[in-house]
Amino acid sequence: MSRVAQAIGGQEGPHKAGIVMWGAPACGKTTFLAALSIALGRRDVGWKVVGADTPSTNALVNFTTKLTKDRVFPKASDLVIEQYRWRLVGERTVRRWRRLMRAEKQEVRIALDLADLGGEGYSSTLVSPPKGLIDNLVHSGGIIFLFDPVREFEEGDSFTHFFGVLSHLSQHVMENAEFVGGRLPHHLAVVITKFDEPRVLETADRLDLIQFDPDDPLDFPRVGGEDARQLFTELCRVSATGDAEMVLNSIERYFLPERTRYFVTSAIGFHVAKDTGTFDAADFQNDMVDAGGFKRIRGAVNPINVLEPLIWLGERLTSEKGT
Amino acid sequence: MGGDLVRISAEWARWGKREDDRGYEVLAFSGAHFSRENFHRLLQRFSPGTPERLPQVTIGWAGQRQADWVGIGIQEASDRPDRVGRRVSETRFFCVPYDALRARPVSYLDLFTRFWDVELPEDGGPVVVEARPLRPELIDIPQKAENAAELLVSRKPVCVVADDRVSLHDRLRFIDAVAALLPYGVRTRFSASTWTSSTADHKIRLSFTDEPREDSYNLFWNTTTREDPRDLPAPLDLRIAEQYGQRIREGVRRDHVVRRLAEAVAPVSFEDPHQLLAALLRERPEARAGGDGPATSDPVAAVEGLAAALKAGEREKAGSFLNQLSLDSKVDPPEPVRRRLRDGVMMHRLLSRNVAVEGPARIELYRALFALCFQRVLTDRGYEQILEFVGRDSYTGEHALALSRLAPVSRRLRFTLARQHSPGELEALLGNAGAHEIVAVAADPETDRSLREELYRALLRCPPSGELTEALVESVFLCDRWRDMYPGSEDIQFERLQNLLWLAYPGDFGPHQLQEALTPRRVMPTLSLVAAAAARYGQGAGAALVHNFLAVMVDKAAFDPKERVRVLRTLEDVPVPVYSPAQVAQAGARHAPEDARPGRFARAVEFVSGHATVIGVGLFLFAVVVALVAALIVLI
Repeated sequence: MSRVAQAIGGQEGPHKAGIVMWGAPACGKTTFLAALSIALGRRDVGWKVVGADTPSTNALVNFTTKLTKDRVFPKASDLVIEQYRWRLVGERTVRRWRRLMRAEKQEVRIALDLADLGGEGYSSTLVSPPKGLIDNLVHSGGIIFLFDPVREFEEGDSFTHFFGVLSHLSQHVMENAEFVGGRLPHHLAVVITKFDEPRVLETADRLDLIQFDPDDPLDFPRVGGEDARQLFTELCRVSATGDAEMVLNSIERYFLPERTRYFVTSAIGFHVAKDTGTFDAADFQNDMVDAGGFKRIRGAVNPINVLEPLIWLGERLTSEKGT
Repeated sequence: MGGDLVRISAEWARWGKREDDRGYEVLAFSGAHFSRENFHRLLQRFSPGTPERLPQVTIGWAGQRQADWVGIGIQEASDRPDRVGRRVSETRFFCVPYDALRARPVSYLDLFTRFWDVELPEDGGPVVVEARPLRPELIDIPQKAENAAELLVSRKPVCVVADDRVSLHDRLRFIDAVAALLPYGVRTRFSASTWTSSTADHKIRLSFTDEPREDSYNLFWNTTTREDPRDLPAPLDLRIAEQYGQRIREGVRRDHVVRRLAEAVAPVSFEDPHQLLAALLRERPEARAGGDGPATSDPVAAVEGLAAALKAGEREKAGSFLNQLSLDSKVDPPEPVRRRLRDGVMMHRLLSRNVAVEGPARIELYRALFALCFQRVLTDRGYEQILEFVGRDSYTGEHALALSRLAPVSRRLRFTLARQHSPGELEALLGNAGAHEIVAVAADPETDRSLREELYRALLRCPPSGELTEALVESVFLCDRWRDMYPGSEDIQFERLQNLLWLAYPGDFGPHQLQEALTPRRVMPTLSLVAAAAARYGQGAGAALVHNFLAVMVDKAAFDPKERVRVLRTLEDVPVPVYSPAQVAQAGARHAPEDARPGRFARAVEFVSGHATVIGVGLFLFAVVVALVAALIVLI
């Protein structure tokens, strides 16, 4: 008999113990969400994403259509927080002592109550972060922090967008006496976006962090989970302002190491050569700028590591111990 | 209204992206009253989400330096990308000083039309436009706008679910129609948008959207369907909203309602729905506030005027409005006016114990308002309605005194109100009341328990009289009331009934009195009354009960005639009580009254009839013995 596992409080409201996204303007938050259902469609991982209400379902359809049919990036979120109530539904195999260690399938529903706010809302230089955002973060169980290395190369302002929110978050958590081991109780997925950008790929290559999965028919380069933190460290080091190292230090100072994991991702993936159907090191960029100066997607969208942070967070939040 | 154009000088901001930047920001602004950060906050507060279709218009508000502003944001698409190749939209946000609109109201659609083409000054100065004043008769009010206005008063957001085919102008016209059904002053706190994201956590009260939301009332553009929010408004807010909707729909001419609301320019907030309802009920509030007192015999206006005068501490003016209400209260207003009066009285809490009117004037105020809002003659039902209206916890002796002056139709109400007013008032009323009246009120099942206790004590103080006895006998000594008041406490019932029996029969209590006391009338005697009568009777009560209570009951009961005779014959076997031992105990040697004692002959007859069998047998045996003796004599 299957049993339904849910994220803590996932069915009760849009915020509680859900997963919240956090990142600077144009770091790829909405595109990351848009790539989610495509990633599920590309890989037979036994998961599907389902909207928990009609507006969320429509948003999912709209995002996916933008990337696949229209080949354009979704519009960036505005100053208001968008609340998406989705569910990752799948199965997992469990063995129970009570059943003499026999394997059985268990249905799992992971609440993806995602709060997405335009990067302008995170800025601490002009205004304080919106209270709704801080509330969402305080009440969330998992945070996806998106780090845009390209922006960091050019602007070097990740720390600016990161530290103000982190300070408010810490204050609220401390007021509620919810620190765990002197740190924030949240599970943090640090998502390094835009792995498909040449400068990011080159940095990973220079550090010798590139791997190839023999089972991947597209033969895409990847950075494994064990090396992601090293790439993040290096990307922080080459920041335009040099401030990004403080992001890394803050993450390690404010979040529990066992509740933090790094992921190197790409929402649109690499361009696939028509003749071979695989990655072409000489022509791998999957976006292009049209005559009007607008960015478009060249070919099929093949997300990289988009599912993994969500599944990791979801499994953490549904596990009984929560660590 | 009408006439020349309204000249408006508006502050503004331009929100967008620089060519070399990724994030949105305030690109330019007029700096006279708002800072860059002010505008950033305003745009954040009234952000509708990320629209797919442009242009869109969002209405907002701002309070700045103790002044109110009406905001209007126009978001348009641009043909230029940002630094990362995404299409940039641009928003122009205008802040109009409310004082300019207060003097001469303008519709949102007209503001939009004026700002749509305007060039933003490069020098950072304000934008100056000229708009047409609001013309209520030109505003088309669809049924859905009435619904939306009513629902907004409940403080919940309202979404209108519509597809792309509904144009921007139609959306703005609808927003204008809804706003026209709200006091104009609410525009200092009103927000609306021609589109909001269904997934956005926005703070806009009225908006068009693609999908219904769980946190809002949802109206559907093409149907009459309505979906309620998951969490309904507070019951009080809901009630006020319903009243608001009712008042809007009651308006005979819609343009009159709209005109009146357009004149209600004093800033009001959605946070206090009472204020919105008050503004709707009020007619020409500002004109009246400047007047010297009542100019018409309209009691609704008098209530509003009185409230305003009390609020302003203008005692003389309040006095003249009160006189006006006293005069008005001599005539019954029609029910719609009564309803409006009740709304106004509730709104301004004029029946509160804290109303700023003292002494006899307060009693007269209460009386006049009771008469105007409910009825000039107080019925039981009217009393209950008033009690509910005032609130049982807020009800005081002064309310009771005022009600007592409405000529209550029932004795019970008079006694009730007198007791609520003061113990002295009740004493005085009881002093003038007859025994019949007191017993009748005590016997009334609707009489309050504590009042009945007071009446019982008053009865015990009454001197014996034929009227008192008659009233108590008629009410069967209130035995059913004591049973209902003290169920299961037969000892209390018994004590009270015995006291009342002594009160009714201070002298003799023989079979006749027992029969009278226990005769069923409008109620059957209770067991406690039977026991109290038996105790009052004393020794021999059993036989008296059989012959003067049970036999009477059987005789009156719907028995089969043969059965009745059989039962009565059985009862006849019980010796008839000759006299009352109680009377013996009380009267000493004289004990039973003469008429109750049988004469010697009667006693002899009674004895013979009572022992006929024995006598017969004896006579028979005597005859046998005589016959035997005679036979022996003959034989010898």
